[in-house]
Amino acid sequence: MTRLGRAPRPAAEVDCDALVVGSGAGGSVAALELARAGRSVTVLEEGPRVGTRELAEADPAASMRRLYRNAGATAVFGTPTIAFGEACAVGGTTVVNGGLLWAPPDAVLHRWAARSGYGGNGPAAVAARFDEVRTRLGMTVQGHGDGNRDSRLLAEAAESLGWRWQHPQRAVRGCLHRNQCATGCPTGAKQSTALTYLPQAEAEGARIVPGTRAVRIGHRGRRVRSVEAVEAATGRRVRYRPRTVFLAAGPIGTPVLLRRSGIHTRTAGRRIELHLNLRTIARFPDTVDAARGTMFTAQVHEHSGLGVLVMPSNLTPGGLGAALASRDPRQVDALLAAQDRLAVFTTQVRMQGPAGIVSAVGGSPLLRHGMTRADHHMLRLAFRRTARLLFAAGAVELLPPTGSAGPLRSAADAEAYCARVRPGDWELVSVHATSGCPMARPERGGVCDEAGRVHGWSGLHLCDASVLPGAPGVSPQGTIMSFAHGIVGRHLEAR
Amino acid sequence: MRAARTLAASGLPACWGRVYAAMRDRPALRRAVVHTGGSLDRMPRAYRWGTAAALAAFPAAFFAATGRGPRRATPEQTRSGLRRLRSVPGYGQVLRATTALALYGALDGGAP
Repeated sequence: MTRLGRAPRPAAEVDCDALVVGSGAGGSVAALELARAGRSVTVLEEGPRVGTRELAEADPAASMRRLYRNAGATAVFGTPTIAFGEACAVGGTTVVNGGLLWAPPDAVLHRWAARSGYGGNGPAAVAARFDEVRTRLGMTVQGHGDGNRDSRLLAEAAESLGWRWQHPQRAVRGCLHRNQCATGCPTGAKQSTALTYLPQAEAEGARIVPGTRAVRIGHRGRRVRSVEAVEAATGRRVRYRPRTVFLAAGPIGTPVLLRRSGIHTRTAGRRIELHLNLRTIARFPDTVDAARGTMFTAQVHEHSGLGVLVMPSNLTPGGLGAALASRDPRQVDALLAAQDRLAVFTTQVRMQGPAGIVSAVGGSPLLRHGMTRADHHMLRLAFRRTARLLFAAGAVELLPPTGSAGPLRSAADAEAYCARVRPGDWELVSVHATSGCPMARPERGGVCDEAGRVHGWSGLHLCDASVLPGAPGVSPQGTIMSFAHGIVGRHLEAR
Repeated sequence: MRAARTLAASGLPACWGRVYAAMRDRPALRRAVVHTGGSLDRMPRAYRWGTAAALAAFPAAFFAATGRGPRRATPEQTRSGLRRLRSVPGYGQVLRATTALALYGALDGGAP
C-alpha cells in the first residue's frame, strides 16, 4: 500500500481522558455523551469554527471555500468523475447540509444486520436512539413556506401520479427560508451540531480545538497511545495522549487516518458506498422563482425501495451557473436570463459499485469508484421516473445531467436520451459517503464491532459515517447520530 | 492567491469575460477569478499541480484549437475553441471544473 504521508516528531504533549477526532454528526455525539459521563474530553477539528454572525456576513462563495473540504470539489475518479462534497468545519457537514433528519428504514437495518453479522442495531434499538437525536435537535416537519413553488409543483405532480411524497423532517427551529442551507444557515435556525451538541458538550466540560488536524495515531503493539496533530495556523505539532480515542474524521478522513497509522490497511477505505445525485434542470412556462424558499419542502419517496428519492435543490444563481458549466456559453446565458422560470431537481440514487481510497498523491487520498452496469441502469431508470414526474409538474423542457445533451421536451425525448446516454456522460455529484470502515464481523470485512471498537486494537473506537454497514438510502445524519449514540452508550456501559 | 495569478496568466478569464454574460463586467470577472483561484488554493497539492499545468498549457491549447491566442480571439473563435477543448478527455474536465467555479464565484461571490 502507498503510505499516506509522514509526520515528524511532535513539539508539545497533552494528556487527556477521551480524544474525539472530528466534530461532525458522529464526533459531536461522542463529545457530548462522554462529557456528560464525566470524562475529560478534547475534540480536534481540522476546520474552522464559524458562528452564525460570520455566516450571515459572508457571501456564499466565500463560505463554500471556507467550510468545505477542498472548497467542495473533491474528485472521485472513474467513469465518470464524481464531484464529492463534505464539510471541514466545527459541526462538520451538519453545518452545510439541509438539516434533513430521517431514521434509517427498517428494511435497511435488517439488511445491515444480515450483512454485518451483528444484531444490536435493529429497528427498535435504533428508533430509541433516533428519538433522542430528534428531541435534542428539535426536529420538525418542514411545511411549505411563502416560496418553494418548485416543491409545491413536485408534490402536486406526485399526487397526480399517485406517487408517495413527504414534507422533509428537518433539524430546524424557526426556518426563515433564506435558501442558504448549503453554505451555512445565516439565521441560526438550522440546528447543526455546532449549535447544539457541541456547545452542550462544552457546558459539560469538553474542550473543542478547531484548526487542528490529526495526522497519525500512535500505538504500541495493538494499544493506541497517542494522536499526533498539527495546528493549521502555526504548523505546531502536538501529541495528544488519551486513554481512549473516538475517531470521527468522516467517511474519507477516518479510513485515511487508520491507513496512515498502519491500522487495518487492507480493509479501511477499500469499499466506500455513495449516494449519487443527478441534477435535472426544468424549465416551466411561468415564474417558479425557485430561489425563494428553503432548501426544499417536498421529497418524493415513491421509489425509495429502489434507493431513489426525488427533491428540488436550493437554487442560487451561482449554483445554477455551475450546474450549466459544461454547456455552450450562449445556452448558459439564455438559461441564466430565464432563471425565474427554472428549477433544479436532485434525484438521489444509492450506488451499488463501491468507491475506495486507492492510493495517495502528495499525501492526499486518491479516490476511485467502480460504477457498475447495474448502477448505469439504475441511473437511467431514476432519470426516466424523474422526467415523468417533472413533465407531470408542468415542465416544458428538461436539461438532463449530461452537458452534451440538448433539451428534452417530451417523455419520448427522455426515453431517447436514456437509450443513448453512456456511463461516462453522467454529470454526478455526491454528498453522502459511508461504510469505509464498516461495523461487521472481521470475516465479513468489518473494521469495527457494534461498540465501534476496532477489531484487534484497544483504546480506539470509530464513530462516524464510515462505520455504517452500507448507504442508508436516506439522508444519513439521523442514522450516523443514532449509531454514534449506540457506540458511545456501549462504551460507557462497559466501563 | 497563487492559483489566481496562474489563472489570470493563462488567459482563460479573458475568454470567460468574452463569452459569458455573467462574467462580462469587470467586478464579476474579478469575483470569478478570486473564487476559482481561492478554491484551487484549497485543493490537495497534487490536484493544484495538475490544474496549474493544465492552465499553463491553456494558451498553447487554445492556439492549437483556434489559431489565435486567448486574449486576441473573437467571441465566436473563443466559443469554438472552448467547445473543442471541453471535448478533450482530461483537459475538458479541468476546463469544466474551473468554469463551474468561475460561474459560481461570479454569480454568488461578494466583492473581493
